[in-house]
Amino acid sequence: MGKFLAMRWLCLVFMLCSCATAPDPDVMRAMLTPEQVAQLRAPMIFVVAPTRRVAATLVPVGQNGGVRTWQTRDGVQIATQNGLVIASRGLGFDLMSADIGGTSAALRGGPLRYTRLVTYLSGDAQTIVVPQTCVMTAQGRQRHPANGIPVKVFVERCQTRDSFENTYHIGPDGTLWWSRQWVSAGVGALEIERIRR
Amino acid sequence: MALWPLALSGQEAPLRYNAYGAPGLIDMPIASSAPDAELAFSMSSFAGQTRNTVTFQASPRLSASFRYADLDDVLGPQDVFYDTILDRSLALHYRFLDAGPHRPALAIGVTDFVGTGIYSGEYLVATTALRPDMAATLGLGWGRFAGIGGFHNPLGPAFSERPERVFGQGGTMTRNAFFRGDAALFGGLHWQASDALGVTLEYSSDAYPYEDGTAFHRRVPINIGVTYAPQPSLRLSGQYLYGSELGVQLTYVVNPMRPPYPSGFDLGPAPVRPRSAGGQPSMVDVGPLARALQSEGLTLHGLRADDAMLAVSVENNRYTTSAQAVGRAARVLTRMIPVGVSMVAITLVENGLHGPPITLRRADLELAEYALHGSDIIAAVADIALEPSPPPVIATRFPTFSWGIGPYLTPNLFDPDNPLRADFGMALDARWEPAPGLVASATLHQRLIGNLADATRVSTSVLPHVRSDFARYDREGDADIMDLTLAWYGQPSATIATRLTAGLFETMYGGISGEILWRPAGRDLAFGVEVNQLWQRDYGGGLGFFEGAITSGHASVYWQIGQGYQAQLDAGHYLAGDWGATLTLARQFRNGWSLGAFATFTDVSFADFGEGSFDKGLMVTVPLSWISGQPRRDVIARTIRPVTRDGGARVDIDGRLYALTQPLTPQAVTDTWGSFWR
Repeated sequence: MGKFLAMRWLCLVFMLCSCATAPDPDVMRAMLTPEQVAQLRAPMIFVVAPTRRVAATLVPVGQNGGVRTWQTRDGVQIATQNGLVIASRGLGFDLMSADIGGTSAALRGGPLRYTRLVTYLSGDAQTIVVPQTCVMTAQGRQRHPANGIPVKVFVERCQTRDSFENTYHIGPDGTLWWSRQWVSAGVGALEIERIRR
Repeated sequence: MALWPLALSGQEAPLRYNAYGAPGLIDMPIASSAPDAELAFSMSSFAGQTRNTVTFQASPRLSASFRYADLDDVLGPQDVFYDTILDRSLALHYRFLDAGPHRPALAIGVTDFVGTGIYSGEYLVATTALRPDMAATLGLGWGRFAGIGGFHNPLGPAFSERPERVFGQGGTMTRNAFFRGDAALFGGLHWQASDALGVTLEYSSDAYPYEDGTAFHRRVPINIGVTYAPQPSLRLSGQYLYGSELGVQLTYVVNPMRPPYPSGFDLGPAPVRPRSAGGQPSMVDVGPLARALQSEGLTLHGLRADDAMLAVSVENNRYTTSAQAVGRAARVLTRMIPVGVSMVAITLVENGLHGPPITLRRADLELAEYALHGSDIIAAVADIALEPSPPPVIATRFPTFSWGIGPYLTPNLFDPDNPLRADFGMALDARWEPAPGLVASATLHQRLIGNLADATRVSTSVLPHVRSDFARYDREGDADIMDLTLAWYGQPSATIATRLTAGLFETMYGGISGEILWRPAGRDLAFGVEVNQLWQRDYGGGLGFFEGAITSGHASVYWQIGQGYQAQLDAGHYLAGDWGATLTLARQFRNGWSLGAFATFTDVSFADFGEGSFDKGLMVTVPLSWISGQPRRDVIARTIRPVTRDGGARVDIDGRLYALTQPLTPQAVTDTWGSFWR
């Protein structure tokens, strides 16, 4: 309970910032110093929505099988499977569900060309299924800036009604430390950094 | 971001609406249709001829336009000169053949279905794409469209005579005029130079018989126009007309099926908690469960716990679609009930009336929460019973009292003296529910500012003034009791709902109202009867009544035609003592929008009715959730009448059973499964 409360307080601080004055995402990220991160007792991600110039920290609020639900202080959610976004809620143009099996396999050495399926909600409460044809390419290595861990960089280019490019930075143990992942035409991409595993 | 709805639909270049608000060139129509459900507001003006039109693409092929025109310097029949004519007209446009590789699209239309007849004209028109960016149109027109280059009517001698237009009181169908008289050809070209820019050239067969010479001088039948769309929903046009005048047009379109935020900003739901994760209580604890549901916008109404099954009934205070309310409730239950419970049954409740229980296996909820086809899985496995089986009401539900204060705006459109009147002020709403099915509610208005009271027109109606004194109601009293009622809702059987309401129903009437509705689950037809004993309230907005009781009532048939189209026929006794029937047609969208039209014909003669000849109007419902993206159930609902008279008038009563029970039907849930996991 104690650690949960501490975590909530930390989130509260960041989320108040995001609500009240909407500081620059870079400023918000800088406030998450290594010392503060070291005090965290539970997983956390830091998410930037570049098209809206907003950022927030998210903590787990649910775990169903391999899917983890993360939530901001103000109730916006994303759901991830191995760090890959399969749903969002509260963004106005949400990703309702996704089959990211192709991406997941490609990051682990599987086929590099594959089709993903994602669903959106129409304005009339109907499910719209959209296929995405993707190609994954490895783009070398670098170090994750926050903790110096070496990561492999992968770029995924997908064609659909909108074409987009996702980027994944994966650590030696398979942890997705940083990624840019497409959500929808209305939201654009989210930049997701793993703050604490 | 604004392009998102377009991207989803793969829409082509924006359609041009003509100066009459119909899909068209400049003055002439074309054979195309707007995207289904598009609602276009257009305003065009040249030489003192201003036309304001609302056009609704009611189906993929049929569009209807309601037009309110202000014509200056008109020389009418028998050489009567009018400084200004205010003209209302209803137009229909039907595309009966789609374009193919070797054939054009074909459409037929009537520009003035009901009205004074000044714009009366009919057409048959063909449009074909010459290139992807260029379309050509050729049409055959009658009436207004046969002003120049006219020839004998190809439909034969029976159609050769077109009756003289009468600038009368309007409202009567211009009988025997459709497609009669001489015919003429018209046509033109539209070039869509880019997504934002289009150029239109037309040959207009309209001779402007009443305007030429007084309002402007028509020199050539050629018009040219340029249309610029700074954003997909807005089109600005400038045109050079008939070799003598410049005209402008502004068109704004909105599509109920394309909300600005398709998935809304609804906060994330409490996630499913799998039984394997643990953390659920070992017994159902009503207090925490009710609080958890309340934070999702749901009020726990009743609860029944068996060994393996937990049944709850909930009131949906937040969500537009019934399936979303059920989905939110289901997720909360997975967190708040013992792991031994394997099934949940969720019943939606409105004012004490119950829908059928929707039974879900907990295992399916755990499986489908983030599955790709999660909504389809739920749709396939959910069991919707045919009959309600209400769980016992929980002790803490009743009595409850709630209230709120907010702003209000009451516009009054189409006043002949000032077509835009409105009042603005603060509204106080209160609601007290002492027991299941018993609802006391009140609405008070305090006017702050507005010009409704400036209406000085005095009713000249020869009928009892059951509606036409509305201006006196607006004028007298700044603080008004809008409604003050006690209603009792009952459900004597699975298919029957009843309502008994007493009090002040609306600004003009109070009394006692009884209603019974027979609505079997899963059927397209429903039948109802309503009987009211009414007294007319006095003008002050307080508790006073005028002398004399009025008995009104109707028998109603409701028909769900399919695809969201609805028809309703009410036959009975109206407020002025007239007998007759009202036909209502509406298209209801799953996101809460509804657009409809109604017409009432009673034994009051057109002459006694006065201007407009019979009661008719449009009904528009726009959910606030659609506009803001925030989940909420309140709507902006307006009935727009061109004129308010006394014939065919009915009392407005809150809580009429058909609309009230709509979200409780199995169809309301099955139509919206896609939002279950929203």
